[in-house]
Amino acid sequence: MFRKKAWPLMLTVGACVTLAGCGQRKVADAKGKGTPPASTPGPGGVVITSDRSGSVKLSNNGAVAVASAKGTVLVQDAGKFNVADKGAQIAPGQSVVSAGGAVLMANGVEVELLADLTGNDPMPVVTSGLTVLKPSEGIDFEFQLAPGRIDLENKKSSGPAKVRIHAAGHKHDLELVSPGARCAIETYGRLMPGTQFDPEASPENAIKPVGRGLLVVIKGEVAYSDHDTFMKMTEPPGRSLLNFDSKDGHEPVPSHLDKVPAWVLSDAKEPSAAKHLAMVKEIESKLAEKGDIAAVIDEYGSSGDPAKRIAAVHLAAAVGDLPRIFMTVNRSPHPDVVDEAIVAIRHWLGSGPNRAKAMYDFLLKGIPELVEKTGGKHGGPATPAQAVILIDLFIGFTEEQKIQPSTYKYLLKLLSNERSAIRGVASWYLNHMVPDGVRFGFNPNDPEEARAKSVKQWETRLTELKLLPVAAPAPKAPAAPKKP
Amino acid sequence: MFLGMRKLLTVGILALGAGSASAQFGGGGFGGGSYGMAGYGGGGWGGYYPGPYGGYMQGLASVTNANGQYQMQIQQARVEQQQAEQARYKSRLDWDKTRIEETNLRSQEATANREYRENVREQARQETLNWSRKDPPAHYIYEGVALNAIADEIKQLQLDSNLRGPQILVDQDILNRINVNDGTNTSAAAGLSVIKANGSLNWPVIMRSRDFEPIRKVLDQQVATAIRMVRSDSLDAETYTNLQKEAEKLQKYIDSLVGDMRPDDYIRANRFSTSLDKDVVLLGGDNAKKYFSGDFKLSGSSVAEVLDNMFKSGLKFAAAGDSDRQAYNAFYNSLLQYDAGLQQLAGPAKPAAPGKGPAFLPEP
Repeated sequence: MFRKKAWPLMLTVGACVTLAGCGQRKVADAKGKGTPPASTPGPGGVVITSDRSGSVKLSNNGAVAVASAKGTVLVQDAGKFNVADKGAQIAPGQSVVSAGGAVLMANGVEVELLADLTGNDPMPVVTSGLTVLKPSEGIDFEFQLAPGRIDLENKKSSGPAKVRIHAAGHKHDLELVSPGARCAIETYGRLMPGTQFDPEASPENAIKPVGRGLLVVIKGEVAYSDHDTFMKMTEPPGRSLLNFDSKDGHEPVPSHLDKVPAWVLSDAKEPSAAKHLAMVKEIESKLAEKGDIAAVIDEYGSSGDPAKRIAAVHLAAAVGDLPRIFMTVNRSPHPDVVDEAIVAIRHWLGSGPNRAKAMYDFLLKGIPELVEKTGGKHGGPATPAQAVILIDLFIGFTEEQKIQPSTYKYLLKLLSNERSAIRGVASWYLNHMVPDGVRFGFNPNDPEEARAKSVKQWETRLTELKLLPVAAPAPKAPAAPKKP
Repeated sequence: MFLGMRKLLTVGILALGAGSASAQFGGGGFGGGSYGMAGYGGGGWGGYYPGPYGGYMQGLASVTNANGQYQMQIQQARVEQQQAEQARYKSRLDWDKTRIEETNLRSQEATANREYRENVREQARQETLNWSRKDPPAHYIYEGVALNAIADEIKQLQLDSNLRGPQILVDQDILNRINVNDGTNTSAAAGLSVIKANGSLNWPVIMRSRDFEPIRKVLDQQVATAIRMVRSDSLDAETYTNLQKEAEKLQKYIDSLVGDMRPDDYIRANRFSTSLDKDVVLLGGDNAKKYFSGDFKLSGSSVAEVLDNMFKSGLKFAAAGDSDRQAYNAFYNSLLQYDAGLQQLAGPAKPAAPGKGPAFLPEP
């Protein structure tokens, strides 16, 4: 229920940072009416590109240039994400995160990082990201894909553009056959519910997210190849869709499309997306103005506007700032922040390998800043057991576990756990599994007395619904055997 | 003398009645006092039989007339009575007819309702069977629902076709882990699940840790003692009560660890404890001995033999303990294989009758 309610707000985050015009351009391109910017190969492999506004972007082999306005792209540098200026260079090894609308240029390949604006995408894409890699021989742009939506377009004046994508341990080569060829890639990952996190496991043996991906050719021809597959794909109508699922061994499954799906061409001017644009632009300008994402998260996290609060939580998750998520949750009296923080952390856990271990280490370390602010009440280091419980809870329950009375009993007992994070996640599950319990208003940050009242109400309701284990009726004790 | 007086009396009475008679036969017509002549009866033209004799005759006529009237009235009354009888009879016939129609209608409704219920039941059964045959949710298998649905279908198919399915061998280790009961309890879980027929407890891995060792030892011992007594029909109240208390202690201990147990571990431990409670209840029940005497045990070397033995003994599959799940999956696969083979031999199954709503209700 919360999830559904929260979607538009999440989309807001997805749309934050320069969205204006990006969706519209895609539509125009798909219809073949767009005018690709002129590109000319420069000396030493440097490509000089001019867009409609006449501004010039430079990129050379291995380096990628930011082609969109300041505030649209966050680039990781020494473990911290910074707001990138227009024209800034992104070196191989650097990661990029965008909440939508960022444009990068790499050797004649335009890379657009998008997010689901309308809620119509097949996957809950909130942010997009990638890590730039040094291109292999014959490859124009090589990168490690993170969950999200990325559009690639051949912006060369002539000839094909070659892209190599690393995803879930596999390499996928795309050849955008001629200038103007464009395709959309959407991926999403999550840790399968019921998976148990093992803190002792080596990185190779650690639990891995299950990934799903889609590739849609929007315009022109795209040749796909991996270690044992080669297939040519065209814009619709034709073989235009590829489906990937890491559960099925990453084998691409092609499909025919009559036309480009509506979600691919979603327009930022659509009413469902446009209503968020005012806030999106505000976030964009704030990021450009302050140049510090942490400051924007802090400001929005304490906002009276629920959309802004939720945006803050998702921005923090997008840049992997776990301490800031917990601090925002702790500071906020609003239950919606707790709910959305859980969603954001679940997204983050599924967005890359070994994220669960990173979270485990973070929980064991605690959040000194929060400890200081709360006088030691919150943010202290978790015990290994508490950290494991919390991560297992974030990963979720299997369908079989969800119908077990023991699961409800466990969650009910966790409502009284000493750690507010565990209480919050337990409450989140109960609210989703028994939606009418929302009325009990359990808030993990409430004083113990108020929480105890809600817990009692929960217990009564779960008993009414027969969701708690029922004690077996005690039979009469057998009578003593008669003496012979 | 007496005769004369009687005549006079009669005449007097008749004279008394003449007044009324003359009023009818002309007394008031042409007679009138103004035209009457003295000496001619004093009544004028008023009477045909003037004088006392005339009065007598007039009275007599009146009597006759009244008598006729009376008879006519009687007759009329009889006719009316007859008509009323006929009307009542007709009405009764109508009522009976209505009642018969109502009864028929009710009977039709009852039949339609019954058929509807049967159809609904059949549809539900068919649905469960379809679910059970094709990739059922795990709990369908572990609760015994899928196994019972397929076994029931096989039973019916074997009865209808007099055929047996292919020879699918069953591992005895697997068979020993499949729990059954007599099917008298509607709950599929009404069978021993964590106490095994050999008297041991199937502890989940998480409860085989050192933390659980003390309570595990006590429970192992108490369960073994109780089962020994059940086998010899000598389970006493003290042993049984102690066992119950230890089972309660286990649950409290698990609850005390909730903050340190990860979700899956707690769910398994709690499920074990809940199952143990139910098993302890069964130990105190009437059928307890049967669980250990081999009455509630599957036997046979192939699926066909196992099923035949089950059908003969009226046994049903009961829920699995946590450590029995793999065995349940394996047996489910064997059962599915046998079922598919039998279906091939017996030919295509008859499609389930479409559900039809009761006559008085719109079609669902």
